[in-house]
Amino acid sequence: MKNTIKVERARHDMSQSDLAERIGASRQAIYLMEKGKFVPSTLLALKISTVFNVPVNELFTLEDEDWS
Amino acid sequence: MNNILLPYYFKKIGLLLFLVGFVPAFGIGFVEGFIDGFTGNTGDRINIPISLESIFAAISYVGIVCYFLAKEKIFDELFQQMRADAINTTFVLSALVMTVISIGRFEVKWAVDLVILLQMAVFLIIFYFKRRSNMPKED
Repeated sequence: MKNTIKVERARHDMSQSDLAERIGASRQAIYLMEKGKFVPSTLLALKISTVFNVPVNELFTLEDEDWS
Repeated sequence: MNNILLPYYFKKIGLLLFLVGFVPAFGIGFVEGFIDGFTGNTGDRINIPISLESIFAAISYVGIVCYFLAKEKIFDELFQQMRADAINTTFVLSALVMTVISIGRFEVKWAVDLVILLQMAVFLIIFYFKRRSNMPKED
């Protein structure tokens, strides 16, 4: 699954720590999400979407391997 | 499981309880063993009531449980996942060791508390390396 969290962070001039604090997660979680190594829960995805004011399905996109 | 987990400061409480219980219990056993080995006489023992030694051991176990059940400072779903993975890996490794011992018919007699301490140590090591391998490199 791909995501545009890093892009949105840059648009909002937000560090990983700032975003982590806003959504109540660890900086490690943000880092791994951006690397594509951690898939957030629905709750966390919705929180990120609310912070950036971007729909969830624009923030996160499924890839072919996610369907297997 | 989140309802069972204790606040972060219980890590320090647990560690303290473990040391308070483990050090006297270990000390008693060490001194007794030293005296036995040095004198070759099992009669010279520290006259400690067995109940006191059990109490110290129980305190150390409570400390271990407190430490194990205490959350991390920031305990989000990533840490929950890493913790669950570490517990799974510890369990699988324990089962593998037991399987090898059974197949090999090795005469192994381990005290229950040693088994628990070993599992706890393995879990802490695995959890530590999982956290370290996922450490952010950039912001």
